[in-house]
Amino acid sequence: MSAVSPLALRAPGFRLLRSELRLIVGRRRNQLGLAVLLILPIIIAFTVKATDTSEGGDFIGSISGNGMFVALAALSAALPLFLPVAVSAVSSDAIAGEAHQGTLRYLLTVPVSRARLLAVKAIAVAISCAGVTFAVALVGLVIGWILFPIGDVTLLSGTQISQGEGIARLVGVCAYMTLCLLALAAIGLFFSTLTEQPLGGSIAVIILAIVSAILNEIPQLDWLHPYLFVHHWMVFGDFFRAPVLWDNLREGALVSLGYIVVFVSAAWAHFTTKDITS
Amino acid sequence: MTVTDSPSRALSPEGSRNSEHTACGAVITHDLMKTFRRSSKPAVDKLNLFVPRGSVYGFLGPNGSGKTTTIRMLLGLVSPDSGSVEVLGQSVSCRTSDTLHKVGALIEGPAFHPYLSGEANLRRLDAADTGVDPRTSSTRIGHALERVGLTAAAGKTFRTYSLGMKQRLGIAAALLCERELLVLDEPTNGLDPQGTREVRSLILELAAEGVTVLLSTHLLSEVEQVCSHVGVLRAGVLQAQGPLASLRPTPQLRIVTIDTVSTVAVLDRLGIAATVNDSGSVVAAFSAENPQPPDILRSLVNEGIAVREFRIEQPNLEETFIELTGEGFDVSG
Ligand SMILES: Nc1ncnc2c1ncn2[C@@H]1O[C@H](COP(=O)(O)OP(=O)(O)O)[C@@H](O)[C@H]1O
Ligand SMILES: [Mg+2]
Repeated sequence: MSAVSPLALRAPGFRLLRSELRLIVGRRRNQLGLAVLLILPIIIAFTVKATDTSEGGDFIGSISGNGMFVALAALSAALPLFLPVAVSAVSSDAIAGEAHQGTLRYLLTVPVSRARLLAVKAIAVAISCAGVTFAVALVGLVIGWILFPIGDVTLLSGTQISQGEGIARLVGVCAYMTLCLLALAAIGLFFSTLTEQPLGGSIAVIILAIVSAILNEIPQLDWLHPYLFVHHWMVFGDFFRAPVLWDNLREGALVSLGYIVVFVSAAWAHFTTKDITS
Repeated sequence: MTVTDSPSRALSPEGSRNSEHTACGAVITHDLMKTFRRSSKPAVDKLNLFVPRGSVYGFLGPNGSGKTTTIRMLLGLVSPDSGSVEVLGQSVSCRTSDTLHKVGALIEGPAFHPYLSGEANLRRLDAADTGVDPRTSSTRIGHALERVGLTAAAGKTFRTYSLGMKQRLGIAAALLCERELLVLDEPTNGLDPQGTREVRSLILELAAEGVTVLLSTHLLSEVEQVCSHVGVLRAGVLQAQGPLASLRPTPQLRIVTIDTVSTVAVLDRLGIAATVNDSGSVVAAFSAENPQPPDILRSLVNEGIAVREFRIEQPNLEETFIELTGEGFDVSG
């Protein structure tokens, strides 16, 4: 290392991110979780094919018209529970997992600055959130197109849009869902800086998600609802109105961004000053 | 070297520290303090560490005396309540850590990802380092593994390693690139005698290459075997610090004879203050300034004293250590 100036080598700072992603993808637990999530669209597609239904909520009824709806049905089935569990597991593991194993002290003394480590961890978690959402959609799309017709998409209102625009709107749904999940991931990342027990952090995140969902169902608390991160999750269907109903989506995106900013800042504030005694 | 019993002044070569330029210290701390939350007693109390460059510094103290806490502060993992830390001429805090590029560390035992191989674990640490050339990564990893004798087990997952192999991998991680300072926290913990010997000779090898080594340990024998300097810690307080030789107590002169009274008189004439101990032997502190043993013996024989036994004993360093650390091996705090 002696001949090369350290500054010149700072540019390819992607090695750690790559290592981080490899670590997330390489974990047996994550592989299992991903497998469960990816089987979901396949189960939905085959069930619909076998029973030949053309009715049912959450996009199930539209599948026989266009295979693309398998992706939407799978996403909407995964959003309330499977995706939050996956996101909570990965995000709570970010710092707490390393602390639990003791590897955190060795990473930091490499040295890696705490802010940089947190940034890399956050980016890796964000990529995982996006990756898992788009993967479910992609598998749904592929299996849907194998088993069901491709072509113009008939929206809930009866309006028809082209297959291309349908895909664009599906991408929109995935992006919106990723943003919603990132709010949860930001909370998980913050919890991850508080504890040395990744499982504890993950359970805390899930409990928080469940409590928000319950609060969201209590009419007396309707003043609170817009601020709950789960409140706008299911409005992703608005992408499939004609025209797209942006109002709720915009509000949901803003609330999610708010959560992300608050909790990532809190994670940063705590992690960059805490004593590492793990 | 001063050995004091007043904690606040339990400081090192006062004179030499002032005369030596601070650049000669690989690690210098000033009045370092740390009290953990929910703890009444400080874990580290007004610590003034001075690790000379090029030394092998034995940081000796019983379990719970604050060695690891000090090391964590040296490496920016724990922030001190007060006081300052200087490592390789640069001050250390939680935020600035660039100087740590030149520091290899083993902190409270090795820790790696259990499902990655030893080599993959090192690759991950190397990937985290922005101060090294990625192109030399494989070479450096291979070299570090070879140095600790893990080449054959490089591809096995970490969880299958024995305790000794884990410890070696930790040392390999500390040797991933060129270092000026190695901070090794109890590096021979859990090693078998063979492994212990290997680690100690590795430390000596590195020291011969000019690397400064800060070696924390609760084993006096380890300090005696590899260290040039020593600092003794007890309940967070540095009891003594300096070159190892200065910690050695003065040798004891012991004479067994019936004529104790005349022996004491002869010794007195030679300028040696002697006493008769419980077992009837004449004992005295013996230093290099005293007359040489043949001269003493000749004087005694000339007086017609029948000397049954004459020996100069090198008292055990362990006694000094136990004196400095209290009971020695019990867990404090
Ligand atoms: N995270 C912590 N929280 C509270 N007390 C701690 C913590 N870590 C260490 N201590 C206390 O600080 C003291 C010094 O511990 P340590 O530095 O680990 O000693 P050593 O490494 O010499 O065995 C002990 O009394 C220990 O109980
Ligand atoms: Mg310790």
